[in-house]
Amino acid sequence: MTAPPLVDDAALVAASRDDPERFTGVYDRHFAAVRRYVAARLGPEAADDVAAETFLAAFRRRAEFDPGRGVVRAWLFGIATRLVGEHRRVEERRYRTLARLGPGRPEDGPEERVADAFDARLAQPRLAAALRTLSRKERDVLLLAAFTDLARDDIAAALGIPVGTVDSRLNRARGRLRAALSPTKGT
Amino acid sequence: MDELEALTALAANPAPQTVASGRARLEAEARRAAGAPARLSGRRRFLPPRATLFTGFGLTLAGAAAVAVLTSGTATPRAPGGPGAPGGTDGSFLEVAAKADLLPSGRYWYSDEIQGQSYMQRPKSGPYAIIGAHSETYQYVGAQRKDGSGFWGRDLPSRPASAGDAAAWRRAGSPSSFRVWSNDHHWTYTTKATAWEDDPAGRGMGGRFPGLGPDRKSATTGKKSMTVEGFAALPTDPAALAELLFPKMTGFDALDPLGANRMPKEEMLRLKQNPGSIPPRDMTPREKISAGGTALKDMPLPPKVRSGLMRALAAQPGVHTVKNVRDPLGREGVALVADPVTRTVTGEYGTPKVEQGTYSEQEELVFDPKTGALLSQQNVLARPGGPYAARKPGAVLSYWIVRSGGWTDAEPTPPAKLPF
Repeated sequence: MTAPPLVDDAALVAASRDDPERFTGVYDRHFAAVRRYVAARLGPEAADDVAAETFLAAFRRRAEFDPGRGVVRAWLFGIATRLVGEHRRVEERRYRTLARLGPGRPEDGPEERVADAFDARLAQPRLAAALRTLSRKERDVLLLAAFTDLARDDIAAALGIPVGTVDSRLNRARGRLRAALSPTKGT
Repeated sequence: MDELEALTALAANPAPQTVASGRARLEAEARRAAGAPARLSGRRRFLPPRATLFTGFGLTLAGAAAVAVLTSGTATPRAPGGPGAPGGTDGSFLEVAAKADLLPSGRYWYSDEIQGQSYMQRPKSGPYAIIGAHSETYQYVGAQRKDGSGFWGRDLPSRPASAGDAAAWRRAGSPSSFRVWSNDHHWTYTTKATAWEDDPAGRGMGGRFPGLGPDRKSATTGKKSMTVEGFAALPTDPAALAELLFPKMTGFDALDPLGANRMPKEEMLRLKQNPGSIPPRDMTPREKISAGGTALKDMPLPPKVRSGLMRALAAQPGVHTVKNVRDPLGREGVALVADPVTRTVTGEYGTPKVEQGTYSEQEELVFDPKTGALLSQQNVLARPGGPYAARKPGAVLSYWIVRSGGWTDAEPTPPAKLPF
């Protein structure tokens, strides 16, 4: 069996203009990472949809992809971040639920879910409480940094902001989180 | 631990079926596009949020058309201050009669809901409970697409949880801010309310509501939402509704919710990578009460569906009836109550000693006996202990109140008046 030809992401996207099914190659390479990022922000259920939508949106706009403006991965995470932004209420709700859920506490009413309780326990409720205090723009940068291997300039490209802005938002967001996680300080 | 590393616990790799279903959607799209060249401007397809996305804010069903009539039978009256003895599940709770002439109708469906959670205060003058994390949400969805939707929210003042708690609060000097222990950190709630905030994310089209049934959980086969016509096509038979509303729990949802709290983290991480290895199970009575509450609050169910659903809930093993209860707004009601569960709070998250220990609580739905409307979903202390050692059985630990809601022709606007 011969090794598959080495094709980089951008070439795959370009090929998919004429041969749409080639785009599934982009999906196979990046879906898990995108879905993980979206799940962190919206929870597992919403993430299934939004991550799938990300690739549908990217597919429909594949003719617009410009390799000069960044790598495919940054482009995909930029689309995912915009879609996450359309579900701001879901995201707020998720952090609120995670912040309140905890071992042995009554869950937060009717929307209680084992999956959320699970996430809350693994991630520590105070982390979610700290995420609630960040602006959406800060969360965009912070969660891209935590969930992707994108470099600073890739994150800048994904969000369409200057690299300096990425740095300042990330610093501030990390500082907030560090303070919240510090064992000596409560939130 | 590094703070970025800590964040990665928020999500794990997707399950194989998630990957496969997303790929199938893309493949279908790619096949459709195979004949046509890629266009420069992508078609933006608006997908309404899936049903579960609504639950945080909960569209309400009230102004209910179903009429609940109390019967005698084994329904248990709640002893003063008590959670009520376990009673029968022989269906004696409600004789629910759907009244066709009370069919809901109107241009907008709206809901006004209040959420709160109790926290303990332990001053030297004596312990008391307050309700914190107190908020009110107001939302509407037009019956027609053109009628749009809207969403508002505001924080409500924290307040003593009951008359007895209010007396202890006054003995403590009537403080206006409360430092509480919340899971793994301290937080401060105050007696201040905020103004209504119009959330632009809530503005959108009308005509779509969260849908009922197992499909709403599926990313691919999904009825992600339902129209008024869709609700009209639902079965009215309790058994058929029970099948829709109480599906087998699979994946993560199949974990024992209490067992998950005690599971070692390595085990949790392992399961997160392979949720398919968790054996499916039936829903617990508590989960059924929660699912029923969500449907009754979030969906404009036709009266016969609604009454069928209430009968289905009442017929579930582990669900019983308690009469003569009051909801947190003081409204008289009849409750459907799930068997209590016992919880133990440990020091795992730095929880102070006084907040640790074991108690039992139960999930309840309180209905208006005259109209059948859902008044409140609440979590009630069954057996005091641990953090709630100083509280009495029947004390409300958290609530989700339906302040008002239903169909209306007037354009809905949130009420200025505070509920408490």
